[in-house]
Amino acid sequence: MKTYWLKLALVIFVATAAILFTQSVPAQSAPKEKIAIVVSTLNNPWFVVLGETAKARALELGYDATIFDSQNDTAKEAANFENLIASGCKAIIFNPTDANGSIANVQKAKAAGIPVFCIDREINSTNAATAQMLSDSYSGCVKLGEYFVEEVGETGKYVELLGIVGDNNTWNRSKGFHSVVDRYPGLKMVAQQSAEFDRAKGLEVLESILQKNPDINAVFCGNDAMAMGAYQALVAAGKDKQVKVFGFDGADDVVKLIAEGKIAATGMQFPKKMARQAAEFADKYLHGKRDFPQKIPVAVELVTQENVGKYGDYGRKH
Amino acid sequence: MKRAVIAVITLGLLAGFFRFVPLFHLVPLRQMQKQEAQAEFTATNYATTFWDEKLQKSLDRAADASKVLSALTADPQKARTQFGRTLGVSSSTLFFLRGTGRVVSVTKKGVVLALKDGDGTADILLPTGLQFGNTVRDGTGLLDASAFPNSQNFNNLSTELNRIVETTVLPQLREQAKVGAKISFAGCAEVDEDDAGMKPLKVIPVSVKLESP
Repeated sequence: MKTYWLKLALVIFVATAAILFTQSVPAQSAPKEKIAIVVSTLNNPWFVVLGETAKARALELGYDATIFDSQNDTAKEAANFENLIASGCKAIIFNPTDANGSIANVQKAKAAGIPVFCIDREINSTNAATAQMLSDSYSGCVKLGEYFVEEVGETGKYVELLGIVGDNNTWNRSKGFHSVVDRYPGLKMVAQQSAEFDRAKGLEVLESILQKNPDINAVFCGNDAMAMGAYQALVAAGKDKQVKVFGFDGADDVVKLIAEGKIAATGMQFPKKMARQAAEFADKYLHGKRDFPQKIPVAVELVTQENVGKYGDYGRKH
Repeated sequence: MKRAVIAVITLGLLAGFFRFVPLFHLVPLRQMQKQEAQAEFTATNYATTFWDEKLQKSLDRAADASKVLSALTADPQKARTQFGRTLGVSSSTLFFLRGTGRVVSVTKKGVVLALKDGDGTADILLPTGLQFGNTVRDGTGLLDASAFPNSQNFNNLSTELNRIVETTVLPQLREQAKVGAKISFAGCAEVDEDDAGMKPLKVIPVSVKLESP
């Protein structure tokens, strides 16, 4: 009988020790898979939101996520791709710097078996990226063009600030806008110049244009950073009340200025929605899904002083 | 002497290699501009072929306008699933629809129709002015963005399709649109989720026909 109790005590001791031991030694978790987010530039708050949202969603989904800044330079972008391919990255969320120049980088990743999901900006290839989630810039600027005619009227002088000339978004926005405005012969474009999607350049370029063209009625800008720069130039020249500024992006500072009646309109691009969806696509790919549509347009909505209350924080308010 | 011969042969081989595999190409600006002009021209040709060979032969695929309007009023979400399509991520739904109605008014915006199965009030607006945007290109579901590597070409297609509507369909509509006239139409509409159920529904016509009274 005594032996029986001794054996039972021994079994309980061993079982308890085993449980305590397994609990006290932390489980050796497998290293997290890496997702890279390569962004054209972090020198613009809109792209910071795009990159940070993709990163946050990837982290939520259990990945190790890192943002790489290409500084609007295809060489820097290529170096980023080389590094992250070598580092064993499993998927890339990619905001390209150049529709043609960035194709080779995507092809390198594809050759290394790494899926690439383009966001916001496209590459001119349908067989390199796994999927491309792109703002429908053309349609957005058609809406802006129609609103521009309503606000400015069918006669007047205006300036267009273009983005980076190698980026398709620059031309999709410009062409969408001109597909409307050019149908009104009374609307004269007195200057069209690139300010490379940059706020400081937007300010500088419009200041220079205003020297020769002090009597303009409106400025159409290919993004909100340039619209902010243009607005600053107009304030400095004392012309902010007479010249209407139109932007594109849906950046928070511009949405606030629309609410204050200082900027006429912008196109809301929903960067957070695109970035989250891209991270989810990467996750689905890594769990076996392969049938992604190549191009997924994301609608752009017109934000004006009439409906600005519905928008904020880079999207629609819920 | 031997080294010089090797150097000459090496240079010759390199020159021959780069003759066929050049490091870079010099392209005259005029040639580039011509190529760009040709790209525009391609969009024109593509649009014309698509219009004649596909779109005009697919009008019978369009949904019944009366059913679409009733569904949009009763249950917009169901109407979208049953009759419409959403492109990518969007709060708008595109419809390809057709019907017959009587002209109740002709305004600066366009021709207003009351559908034959409707309650006699304004159901459909067929705009007669300038046409912009992608409603016609995307509304039928016959074209896929993924088939176009460069979205600029896909967008040029919209401009061309709108031009065809303006030059071939709208003049005919303006001529036929007298109050009381009976008109058959097929066309594309885009409905935002905030505007579902709003009448008259704006339909960009791709075909119109004057029916006998």
